Amino acid sequence: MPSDQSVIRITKELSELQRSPELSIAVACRDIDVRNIRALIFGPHRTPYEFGFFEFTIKIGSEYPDKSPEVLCTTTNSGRTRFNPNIYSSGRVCLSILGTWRGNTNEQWSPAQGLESLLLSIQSLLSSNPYENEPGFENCSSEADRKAQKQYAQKIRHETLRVTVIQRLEDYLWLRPNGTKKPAATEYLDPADAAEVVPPFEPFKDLCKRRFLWYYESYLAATREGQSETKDGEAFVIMPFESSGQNAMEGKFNYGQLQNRLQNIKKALDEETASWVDEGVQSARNETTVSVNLRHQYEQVVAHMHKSKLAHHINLEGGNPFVWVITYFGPAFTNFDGGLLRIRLSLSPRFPTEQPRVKCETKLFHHLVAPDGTVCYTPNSDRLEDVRSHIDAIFSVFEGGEPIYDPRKFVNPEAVQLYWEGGEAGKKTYNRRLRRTVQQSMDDFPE
Amino acid sequence: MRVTIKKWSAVATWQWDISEDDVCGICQVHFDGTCPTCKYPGDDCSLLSGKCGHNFHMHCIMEWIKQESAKGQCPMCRQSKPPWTPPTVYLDYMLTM
Repeated sequence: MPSDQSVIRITKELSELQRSPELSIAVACRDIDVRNIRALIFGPHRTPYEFGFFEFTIKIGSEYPDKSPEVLCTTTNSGRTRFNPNIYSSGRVCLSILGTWRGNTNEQWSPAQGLESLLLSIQSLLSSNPYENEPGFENCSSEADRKAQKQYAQKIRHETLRVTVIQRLEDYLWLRPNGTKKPAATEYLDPADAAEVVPPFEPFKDLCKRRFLWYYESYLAATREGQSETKDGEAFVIMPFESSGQNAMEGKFNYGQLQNRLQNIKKALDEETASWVDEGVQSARNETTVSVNLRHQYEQVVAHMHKSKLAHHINLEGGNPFVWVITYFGPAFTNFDGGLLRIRLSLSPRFPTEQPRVKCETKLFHHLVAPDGTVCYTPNSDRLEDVRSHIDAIFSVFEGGEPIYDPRKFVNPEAVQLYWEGGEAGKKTYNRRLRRTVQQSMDDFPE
Repeated sequence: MRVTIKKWSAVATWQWDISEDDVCGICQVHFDGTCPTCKYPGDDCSLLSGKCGHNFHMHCIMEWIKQESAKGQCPMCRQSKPPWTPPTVYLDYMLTM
């Protein structure tokens, strides 16, 4: 079969996946090279992997889809950590559809499988009780096994936070574990040479930064829970199926340190967002393409709002096209009736490669608004370069009616717990607290 | 008035007799189009159906069947074994003068 057949099919699959509103997996490749794919899987809800960032490389051979792709996990703490009985520290992924594991015929690869089904199979390995993934340990329920299962989950949760989230973000932000800044590699170079350095291919950098802001409170909550179950300094227990020193998860609990590192990352991200303001002023002064584009988009959005008789106001803060401030009037007959929200959209000089960061500056108790005000919204993935699609998606957060259960959007653990785990009384309390902050918003609004 | 037909020609369109929005499970191209290796649909790039009812471009399924791991099975349901047969064709006739 000629090799371009595999390229045609994988290109189709890639563009479908990238356009889908799927929140738990992401894929990317360099434009020229669809045979080498990077994929990111978000750790699923109610598992020790929750909200972790697990990255894989996927190689598409010329016999694809008649033969399965080759998959390697790259989130391994530089080859030192085995995150799952079936995901080795070497990166090997043992899965029957990859032919790296035995399985029934109907679990094996066929051309009916594809990128998405493959990634979902890998995601299903990241389960609530991964101990059971190991053959021979599937139905273990003795006292000792149950204890080991718990210990396994406890160390996975710690390493999910430390390796997949914290190390990745510190890397992106040039942070050391103690919170100080590392000099960027280019700072060692002559400015003339630095300009020629090809930046590394980091397709998930902006995505992970934004997701970190979504899940920050959940990460902190996980460290508190971990701290209640383990002692800092305690060594991880080695599982019977792990081989110490080569294919295992070894280390020590240190949730106190993880909390500090999470806080340092949060601070660095907030500073980065704040730095876009000055950078934006500079870009506007130089009339960069992005700044001209954003100003143009702003005029169109304002004209659109006027035409559709929407009462909400949008202003550019200090005339800066990179900071949009929205005054949102809560619609009648909803929980937001009578509310007045101030929402701030910070845009990067690298927009749309770097997507906007959105904060509700008015204090609001809402399941899609993180305690720091970060709004969890999902714009139309076909129109990410269009600020209006962002604004529409932000508005729909406040106009959505009854909350929809989606664990990937759990950005406010307290609100989630009340609404979904507190029964009827919890729902009532949630609505009362939401209403109270909405009413308060009118009184608090700056003149 | 009498009309004498001096000349006529028949034109027909054809379609595979399968559900309309189906794509080939192997190349994921619509059956109205060819498999990625061919230029013209029809005799040059026929379809084949298994007993299980799954359809594929002939060239796509042949490549799969060649694989040892295929064990001669349908890629979709892993059940059906040969023989594979082309689906029937719908014809729409039209007369033009």
